Amino acid sequence: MAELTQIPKTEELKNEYEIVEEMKNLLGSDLLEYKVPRVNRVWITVPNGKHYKAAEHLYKKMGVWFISTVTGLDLKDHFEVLFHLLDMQRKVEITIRVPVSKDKPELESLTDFYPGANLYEREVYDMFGIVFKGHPNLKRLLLAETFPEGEHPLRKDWTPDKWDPKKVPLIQRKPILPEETSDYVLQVGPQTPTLKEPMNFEVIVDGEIVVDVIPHIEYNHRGLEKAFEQRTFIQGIYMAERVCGICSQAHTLPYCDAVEQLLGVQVPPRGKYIRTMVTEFNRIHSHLLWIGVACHLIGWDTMFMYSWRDREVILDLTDLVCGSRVTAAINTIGGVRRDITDEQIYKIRKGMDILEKRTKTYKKIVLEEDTLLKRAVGVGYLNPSYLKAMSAVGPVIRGSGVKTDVRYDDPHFGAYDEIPFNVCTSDMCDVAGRLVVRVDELIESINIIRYILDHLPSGEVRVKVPRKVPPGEAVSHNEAPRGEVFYYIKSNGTDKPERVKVITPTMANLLPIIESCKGHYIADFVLNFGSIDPCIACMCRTTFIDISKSKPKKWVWTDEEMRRYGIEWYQNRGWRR
Amino acid sequence: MVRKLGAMEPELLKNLTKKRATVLYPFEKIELPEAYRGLWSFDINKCTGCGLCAKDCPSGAIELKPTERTKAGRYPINYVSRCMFCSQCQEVCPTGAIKMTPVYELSDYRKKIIDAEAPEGYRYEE
Ligand code: SF4
Ligand code: SF4
Repeated sequence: MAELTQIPKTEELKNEYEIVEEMKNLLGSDLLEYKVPRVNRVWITVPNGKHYKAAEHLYKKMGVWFISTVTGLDLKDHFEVLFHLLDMQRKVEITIRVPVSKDKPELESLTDFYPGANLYEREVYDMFGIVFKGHPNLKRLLLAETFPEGEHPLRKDWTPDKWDPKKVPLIQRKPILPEETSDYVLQVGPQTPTLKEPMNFEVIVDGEIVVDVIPHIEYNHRGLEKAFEQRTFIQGIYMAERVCGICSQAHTLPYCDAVEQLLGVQVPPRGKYIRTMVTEFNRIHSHLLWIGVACHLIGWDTMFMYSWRDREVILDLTDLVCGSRVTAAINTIGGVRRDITDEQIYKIRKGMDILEKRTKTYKKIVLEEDTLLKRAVGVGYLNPSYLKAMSAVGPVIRGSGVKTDVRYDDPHFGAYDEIPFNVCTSDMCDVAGRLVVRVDELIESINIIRYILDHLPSGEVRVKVPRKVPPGEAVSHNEAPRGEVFYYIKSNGTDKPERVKVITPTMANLLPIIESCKGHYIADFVLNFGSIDPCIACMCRTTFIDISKSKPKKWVWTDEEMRRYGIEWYQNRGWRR
Repeated sequence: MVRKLGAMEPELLKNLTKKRATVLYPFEKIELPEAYRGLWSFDINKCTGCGLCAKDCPSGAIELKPTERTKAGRYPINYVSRCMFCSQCQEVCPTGAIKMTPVYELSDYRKKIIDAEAPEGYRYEE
C-alpha cells in the first residue's frame, strides 16, 4: 500500500483520515494507494472490480450519497476511470481511481447505488469506449447515435482525420412509438418559440398529458475537453469562460483553483475576496435572468421586462469592475487581474441598495401574485429522496428542501470559509419552490457582497506563477448559479494540460426534471424544464407524425430534405432565389 | 402563501411615471468605464517585438509581422474579427504597448485589421 500523503495527519484532517482508515479496514491490501493532498480531498486507488465494494460501503455505511461526476482518462498503456463522490457530512471530495486495461475496457457500473451516475457513465462510454457492466442504458450521449462504432474521440490515438464526416450516416432516428397506438410524439425544440435552448425532446403525449420524454442533447457537441488539451493553461482560462455564456465567472473560478492547487500557490486574500464578489455578481445576474425567463415562459412578459431591466444594474457593475458586461475575465491563475478602487466600491454599494429593494419587491410579487402561483405551485413535483438518489444539484435540489451547496460543503475554492451566509432551501418541491430559492439566494448574494466590501483585506491581488505546471492532478468545484460546476485537471509538466474534465449542472438535473414532467400537462412542460435553468447547445432534424389518418403515418426528414422542402415551398409561392 | 390577484398592481403604477430604461441608440450612447475591454490599440514605439502577446492569445487573433521599427524585428497585428476582447495580450505585454480602448462600434462590411504601420492605424483584409 503506497502512501502518497502530502500532508501529515493532523487534527484538521481527521475527517479525511477517517475515510482513509475505513477504506483500509474494508479493502486491506486491495487499497493500492491513497493520498490526502490537502484539506477536503481524498484520493484512493483500487483495482478494477473492488471499486464496487468501496462505493457500496461509502454509500450504505458512511452516508455518501452524492456523485459529482465520472471521469475517463487515457494513459497510453491503460485507461483510468475516476469516480468523484462528495461526502457532505465530512465535507470531503472522495475520488475513487480504477485502472482499466485497454484490452478489455470493462468495469462495473455504480448506478446501483448512484443512479445519478447514469449520464456520466454514458459520457465516459461515449468518449472512451469503456463499458460499464450493469448500466441500464449504455449508449452514446454527447455524440450522435450514428457516430461510427468503435470511434471514441477522447482516446489519445484518435485524431479527427481518421474520421470522415461524409461517411457518417445522417441521423435516422427510429420511430419510437409502436405502430398501433393513440399516443402522439410532440417535438419540443430545438426551435420552439418558448424554449430557446437548442435541444430536442421527443415528448410522448396521451391527450394533453405527458407520458414520457426522451431528451436528445447529442447534436453540435463542441469538443471543449479536447480543445483544452491543445491550449496552454492561460488560454484555457478563456476557454473555460466560454463553456457557458452566463456562468462565465463560475467556470473560471474552479479552473483557476484547480491549476493553483497543482502549482501549490495560495491566492492573496484580497484576490480571493474579489473573485468571490464577482462570482456573486454572476449569480445575481443569472438568477435575475432566470426569473425573467421563467415569467416569459408562462407568458407574463411584464415581469420579464422588469427583471431584465434591473439586471442591467448588476451588468453595469460587472462592466465597471471587470471591463465587460458578461464575460468577466477577472480570474487568472494566481489571483485576479484587476483590483477594485474606492470609487468602484462606492458604486457597488449603491447598486446593491437598488438591487436589494428590487429583490424584496420580487419576493413579494412571487409569493403573492396569482398569475405566477397558478402556474407554478404543484407543477413539477420532485421528491427530495429521489433528487438525492439522482445527485441533483443547485436550486433544483434546494427547492426540494435538501440543504446542499458547494459553497458550504467545500468552501475552499473561494473565500466562502470566511464569509457567513445561509444556504436557502424551500420545502415546496415544485417550480414555485425553485423560484423561491432563487429569490432568496439573490438576497443572500447581496449580503455576501456587502460583507466582502466591509471586510476587504488589503494587499496584493495576485501572485506571479510559472507557465509550466508541475505534473499532478487536482479537482475543484464551484456552486454556479445553476448548481455544481466541476473541474478535474491533470497536468504533465508542460504548459498544456493533459486532460481537463468539465461537468455542468444541467447534466445532473436533466433526468430528474424529465421524471417530474411525466403525468403533467404539455403546457407545463416548458416551464418545468425551464425551472432547472437549462444550458445546452445542439441541433436536430425533423420528425413528422400525422395522426389525422386512421392509421398514423410517420416519416422522418433529414436536414437536406427539409431544406429542399423549404425551397420548394417558397418557389410555389412565387419566391425566387 | 397568500394568493391574490394584483400583487403586481402597485409596481405597475409606480412604473407609469418612471423614465424609460432604454436609450435611443445610436442617437444616445451610454458611457462606458475607462477600463472597458473594447477595440485594440497598439503603440509600435513601445513594442519590443517579444511576441508574448501572440503566444498567449487564446483565439489566434494576433499575427507577428516583420518590421524594422522594433528590437526583435517583428510587431503584432490584430485581426479584429477574430479577437474576443479578453485583454490577455494587454496583460502579458511587458512594455504596455497594447491597450484595450472603450471603442465598441466595430461593425463593418469588411474585415478590419489593426496595424500600426497602416496609414490610418488599420487596414482591411483583401
Ligand atoms: S484581446 Fe484576447 S483575443 Fe484579442 S488579441 Fe488580445 S489576447 Fe487575443
Ligand atoms: S507582448 Fe508587447 S512588446 Fe511583446 S510583441 Fe506583443 S506588443 Fe510587442
